[in-house]
Amino acid sequence: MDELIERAQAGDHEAFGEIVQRTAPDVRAFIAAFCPSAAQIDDLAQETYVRAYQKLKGYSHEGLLVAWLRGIARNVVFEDRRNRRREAPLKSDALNALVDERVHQRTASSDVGRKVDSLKECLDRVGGTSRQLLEDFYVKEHTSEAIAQSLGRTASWVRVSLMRVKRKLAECVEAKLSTPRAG
Amino acid sequence: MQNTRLDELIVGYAEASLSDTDRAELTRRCQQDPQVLDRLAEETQSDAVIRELLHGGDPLAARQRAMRSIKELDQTASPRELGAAVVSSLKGEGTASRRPLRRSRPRKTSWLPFVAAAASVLVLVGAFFALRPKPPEPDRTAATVVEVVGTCELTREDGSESARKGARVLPGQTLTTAAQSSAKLRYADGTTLQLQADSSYSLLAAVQGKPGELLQGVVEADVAPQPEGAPFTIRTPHGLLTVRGTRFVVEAEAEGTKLQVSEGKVEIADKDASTRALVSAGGKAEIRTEGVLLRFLPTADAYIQNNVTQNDETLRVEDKFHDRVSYLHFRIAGIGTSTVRSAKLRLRVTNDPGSGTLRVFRGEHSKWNEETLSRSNAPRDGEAVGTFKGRMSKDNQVVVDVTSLIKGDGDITAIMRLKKGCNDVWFCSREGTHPPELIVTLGAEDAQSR
Repeated sequence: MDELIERAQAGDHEAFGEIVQRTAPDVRAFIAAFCPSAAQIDDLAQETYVRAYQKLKGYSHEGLLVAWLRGIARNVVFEDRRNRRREAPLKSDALNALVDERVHQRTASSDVGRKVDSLKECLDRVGGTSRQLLEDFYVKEHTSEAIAQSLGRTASWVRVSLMRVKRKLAECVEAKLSTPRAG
Repeated sequence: MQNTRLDELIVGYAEASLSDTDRAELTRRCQQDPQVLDRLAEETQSDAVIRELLHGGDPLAARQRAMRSIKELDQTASPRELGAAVVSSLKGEGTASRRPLRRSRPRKTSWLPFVAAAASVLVLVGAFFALRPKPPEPDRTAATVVEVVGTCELTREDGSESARKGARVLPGQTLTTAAQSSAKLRYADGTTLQLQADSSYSLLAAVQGKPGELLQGVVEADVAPQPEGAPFTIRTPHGLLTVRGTRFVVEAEAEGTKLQVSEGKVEIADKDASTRALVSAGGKAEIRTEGVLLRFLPTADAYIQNNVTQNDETLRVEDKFHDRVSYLHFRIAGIGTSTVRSAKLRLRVTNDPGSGTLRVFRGEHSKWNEETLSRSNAPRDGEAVGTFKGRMSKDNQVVVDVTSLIKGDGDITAIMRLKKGCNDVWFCSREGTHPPELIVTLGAEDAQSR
């Protein structure tokens, strides 16, 4: 990665593109924690990388590049949030507005980066049917009805099973967060 | 029981499948119980993060978008212009390929001393505007000609005239470009349509949305995000494209309509809307008489020669002097609930022709990339999904029917092997000039899931 960064700092676009490709999942997941709306993640991630490119020469190789990018992403997200509130009244319904506000409060008081990293590690441990359920639901974006059909189960079974997997993930994340960070 | 009910409501919220009654129930419970709201917020947040961690948000698409943006920034000559370009892009101005971002917040200034003065001015201005007749609402369905090259014609109900820069094009009117000519239309929301030579585009009337019809030719569209329920649509002689704010090129030819999406997503459907697909950034699709065709390029490809992974401009297969096996990774998207009628793997024979039996297998997993692929972690052969027998001549195409490879959306791996003792062959890889293509033809949607 260091060599890629040096090449990108020297103006090599391809090297920067490679950095984007390698870091995008981590940066996007971080943004998603602040802003669950999938439609906005693309824009915010793109803006993050444009700003990173402009600031890249000032990057000093101290600490991880992903952490540096997440710092930029945090600023982009907060700026976007302020602008949204200032410029356009929320068009979303009462439930979405409640959820948005609560997500905002949650991100203001937690180490989002560490939570995302912990969740990533916990996800890597999920296998078998649980993994299949997660991939069908989140990656293939199948509805619980569609998953139920393919598995010969009921939609309720799928929904409850998904919640169980997520609960285990949440417990795993909690356990990791309660362990002091190494170093 | 209560928790199970809440679980169901929360999953329903995540997949946007709540009925009005269920939604009202969840809203009420959130309003009454902060713990329920906290739980829903936590689940929504973790849903979004899990989705990104599992899916990766298509890192290649993220790379392409970022590359386009930085190239545009670099094209500005001086730091001052660079700054201006950034500000412009933040304001959503110009023709930058990334979608317009919301305006940057102005720098904080010490504004308090101005409040009192501003308030009194506002009272006067408010009174002026209250008494002044309201200006007419801008017609959001009309467009303006902002660029004309060569000969272009605007056809209205009362006849035709030469299209000039600044001319308004209203619903029911048609803009036509002659050979070696082009024209650009811009809507009030910043959406632009670039008509290439020999093209004809009509604006259609509608209560909501911005419908148009591409009668012939090619349009490059850069569509600003559209309001919910009021999409931008383009009808062609063969089908309908529904756009949610994106960049794409559409071409209406005699035999079909071609679509290439460079950013965002476009829904493509045939004439009677019996077959439809969602085409994402980097995707290509066609509407033809036989159905909707989706074209996929490999997201990764490489071959393993003996025990060494090779990632060059070729994909080689052999089981004679060398052991060479090729791997192709595709990210299939947009099929949704449509039925796959056929899938063809199209390969171009490059430097070394061959002959014999080429066999294609489904890879048992697709968790590899060109950097990590090795003999030890390469996917093993799953079911055989296609075979080609015969000569594979240099610069010719080899087409293998791999219909059973496609089970729906998601990542897949195709493994290519040549039968033992056959004459080895080299195909062009994705790094070469004629990359492999996977062409998926869709039929009508599964009626049960519609």
